[in-house]
Amino acid sequence: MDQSGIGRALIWAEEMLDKALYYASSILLIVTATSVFYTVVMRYVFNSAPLWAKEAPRIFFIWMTYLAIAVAANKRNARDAVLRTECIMDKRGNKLANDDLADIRPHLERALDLHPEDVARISPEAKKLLTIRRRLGHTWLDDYEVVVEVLSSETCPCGVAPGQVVVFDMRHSIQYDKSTAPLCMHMLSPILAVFYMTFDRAAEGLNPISGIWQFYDCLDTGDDDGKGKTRTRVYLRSTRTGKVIDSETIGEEGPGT
Amino acid sequence: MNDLAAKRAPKAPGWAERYEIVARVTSVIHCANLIREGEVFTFDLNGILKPEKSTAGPCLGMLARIQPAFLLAADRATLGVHPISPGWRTFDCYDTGIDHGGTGKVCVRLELRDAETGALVDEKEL
Repeated sequence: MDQSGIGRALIWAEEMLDKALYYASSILLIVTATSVFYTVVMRYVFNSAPLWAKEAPRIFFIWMTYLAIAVAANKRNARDAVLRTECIMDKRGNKLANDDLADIRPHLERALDLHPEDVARISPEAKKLLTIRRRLGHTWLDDYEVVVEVLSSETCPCGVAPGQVVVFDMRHSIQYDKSTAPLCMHMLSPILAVFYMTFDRAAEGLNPISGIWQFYDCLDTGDDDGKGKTRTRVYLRSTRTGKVIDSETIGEEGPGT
Repeated sequence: MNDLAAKRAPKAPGWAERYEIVARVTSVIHCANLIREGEVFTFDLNGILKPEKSTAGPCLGMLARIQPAFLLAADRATLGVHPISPGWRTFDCYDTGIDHGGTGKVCVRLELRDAETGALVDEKEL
């Protein structure tokens, strides 16, 4: 078997182990709950607690906890590789020598299902994108969020109204719990351009929101020659404090400053 | 009603409430937003995402690309035909993919569903 074959076999084995741990911990949760319920009923209804009443649930619970920790740690590790918040730290929390692709490669391969030959196929531009953000701090994806605030919407048939917002994380995913506007695709699709710029600008250590492209309108021209279009303003704010971040304050709240 | 409004009026007025458009993820390669095959985005016929019926991560890189489908749906509604175009059922995300300068690539295929029952609605049933 060649090297990539061994690599794939190991990835397959790891996935199988991960699934086995997941199902084993799920089964143990059911068994623990069932055995506790059974012993309670036996003890208080039939006054006849089984001999294993104390020991078995305790053992099941301990094993369930350890197996579930392994599953959760694996998933978190994989996700963090994509989020780029922890994978450039070693186990003691120290920053690795180089914040580059070599550092994050093992995590990235697992998270994005990349094989070694896939990594070789990534373009120089995409490699740069994966290893940028040195100047804004390695947690910038978590430190900030993009707010799309509705400024006007005179005749919008979708119920969009001034003052409503749609909030995105820096990975351009909508934050449902923080958004108040109807998630209209005619209004939101032009906002995609913002996220081309956020990555580009972050790589330069700048406020991820462009200084000139902050206002957008929806793609539905409406029935009045476009007069009733929804118009929005885009700005950046701190995820932690909610404070609006401008060019002057960028970097003040992130640990990468 | 002005001329434009009359021109845009759907032939079957109850459609927007009765049906919904489901974009089902049919393939995923190296998606950094961890979208999985089989997950769905659910919209009403006006193009508003329904979070409670969507299982895929709401990535704008994918969602924004589906927007023309809602122009098509509105256009087809004025004709009284099935809101999903038979010619434009499949959409991909904005990432150009690993062989073309990007990293990931997600594809979705559109379905029309009854908003109440969730049953698939094909051309013949409409």
